[in-house]
Amino acid sequence: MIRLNNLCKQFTTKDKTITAADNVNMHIKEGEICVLLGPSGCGKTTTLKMINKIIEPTSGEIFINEENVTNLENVKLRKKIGYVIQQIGLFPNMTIKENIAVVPKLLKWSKADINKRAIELMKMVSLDENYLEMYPKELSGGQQQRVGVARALAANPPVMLMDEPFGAIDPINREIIQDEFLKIQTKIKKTIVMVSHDIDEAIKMADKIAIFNNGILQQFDTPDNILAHPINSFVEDFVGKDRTLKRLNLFTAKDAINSDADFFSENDNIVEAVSLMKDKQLKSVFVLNDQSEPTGRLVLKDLNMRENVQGSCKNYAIELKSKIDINESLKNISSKMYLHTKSSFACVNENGRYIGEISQESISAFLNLAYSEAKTGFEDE
Amino acid sequence: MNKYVSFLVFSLSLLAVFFILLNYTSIGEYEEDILYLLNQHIIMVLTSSSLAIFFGISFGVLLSRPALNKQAENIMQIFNMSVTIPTLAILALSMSFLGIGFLPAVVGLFIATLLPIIKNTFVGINAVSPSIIEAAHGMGMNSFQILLKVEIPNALYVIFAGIKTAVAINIGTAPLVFLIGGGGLGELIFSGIDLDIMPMLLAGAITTGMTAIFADKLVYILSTVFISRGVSPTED
Repeated sequence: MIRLNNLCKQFTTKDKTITAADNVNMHIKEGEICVLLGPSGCGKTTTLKMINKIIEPTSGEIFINEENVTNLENVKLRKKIGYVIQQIGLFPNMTIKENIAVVPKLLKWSKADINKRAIELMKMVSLDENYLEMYPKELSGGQQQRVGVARALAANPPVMLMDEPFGAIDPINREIIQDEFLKIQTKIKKTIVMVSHDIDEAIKMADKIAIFNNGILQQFDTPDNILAHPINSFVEDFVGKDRTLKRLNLFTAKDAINSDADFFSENDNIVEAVSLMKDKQLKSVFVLNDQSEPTGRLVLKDLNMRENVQGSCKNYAIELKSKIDINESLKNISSKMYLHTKSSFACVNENGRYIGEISQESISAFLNLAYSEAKTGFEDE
Repeated sequence: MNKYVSFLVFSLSLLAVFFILLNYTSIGEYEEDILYLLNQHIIMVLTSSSLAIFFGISFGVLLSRPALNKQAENIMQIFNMSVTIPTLAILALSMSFLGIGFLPAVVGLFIATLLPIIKNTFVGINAVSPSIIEAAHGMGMNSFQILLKVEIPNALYVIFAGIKTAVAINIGTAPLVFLIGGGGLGELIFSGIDLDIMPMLLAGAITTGMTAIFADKLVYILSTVFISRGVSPTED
């Protein structure tokens, strides 16, 4: 969808030449969010702004949809690209509706179409229609940025460029707007290039992350691969020492579940159960009821202390205080493990049925698996 | 709509005061002169200030263009210095080049009025936030569209402040053009002083004053028509 070939930008001052972007090569696939990440002055914003030629590239080529747009007229190119900036940049002299209508008007849409589109977009960014007749100064920062996004989407461009779009919004609203934006993106599937300096935002939003330093693209890969295999010490330092913890955010229980774990039914014989647990050296096993809902767990240590163990498992199971939803993030699950001082949980689907066990072992096994898989993939290349 | 009604009421009451002064005071003696000279006065003020607004905004816009940006500061310095020249001196200079009569009067008033408009247009456009301009570029507007739809509308509040100052200077200077043969209400004032006839002097002075008040109100009402509600800091 977007391909950058050897893109370079050099700024010349009186006595020296500064290379802001040095031979950047990237290929961003259709419908992906690509986050350009790095410290300030690393070339990420320069790279973004070269795509719509707000900054004219010194050399190199840009392809959008396999069309070479390097020499396309600026004005023509930009109408095809939605553009959102950190300062939002709504026109104060225009109402919200007029702001949204700018590009459609340039493209000579009919008034009725513009009105319809404006109402549709307000719904999309969850703002009330009444705001259409208001002026930007009458809206809060968060609302203004929603309008900024709506305005960029107005003429339905296939590509969106976003320069730290959520940077100026307070942390609580930022979370909300990020979530809403991801929800919108699952519907509209735009190809998005976004600049950020926040690794957590990048991990949350990105399908691909491009990390820059000193104008050079250091690593361009999926968030997980960047966290699991930083390509050099710069990337490793940039993503932080807690990069493994950050990876937990990328996955849900689904990914790390152990569905082969043994379990007992409430009516199973406890004597057989204990001998099986001893054989397999299982410290604890979940017990399910007739609807295959997990109700309790047998703990070997506890059973060993009891005398005269006999009858059904039901009588010996310790009641479960907490279950894990299949869509819960691994980060939340880890947090629950510390909260309840348990090393494993029963995982259930939306009907409450048991699906498998999630444990510290299964999570670390999963993280290691991703590690070795990616590693082989890397060697294959 | 409220502000238009209040403007209408204001204008009518001003007219009523004027009518009372003409009919029930000794100023009434000069009714014929007043009406003739008022007409002359208004034509002069209107011509010179409309020309000044047109050329002032044009020059201001030209100076704000990137091509002229380097020289703009120096040119503005020259303009700033020329503001210190007394308006009477400008009129005198105008007369020495163009002789006496209507033309030098209008040219003199035009020059005296031009500077605040150029200055405020230039400053107003330069003060438009660069992020807005960047957004406009990013949306695919060309430079002319950006000027017309973004830069000027957002600078209008500052531009109108300049127009207001300019019109005040224009009306304040207008009585002086009598001295270079331009006529106008100054004729009554200066003759009144010279002949020591109080009602004649007052006839000129009061009418000039009322013209000034009306002009100020008129500029204000025009500013509310042209300046977007989203730009004006006073209106909510």
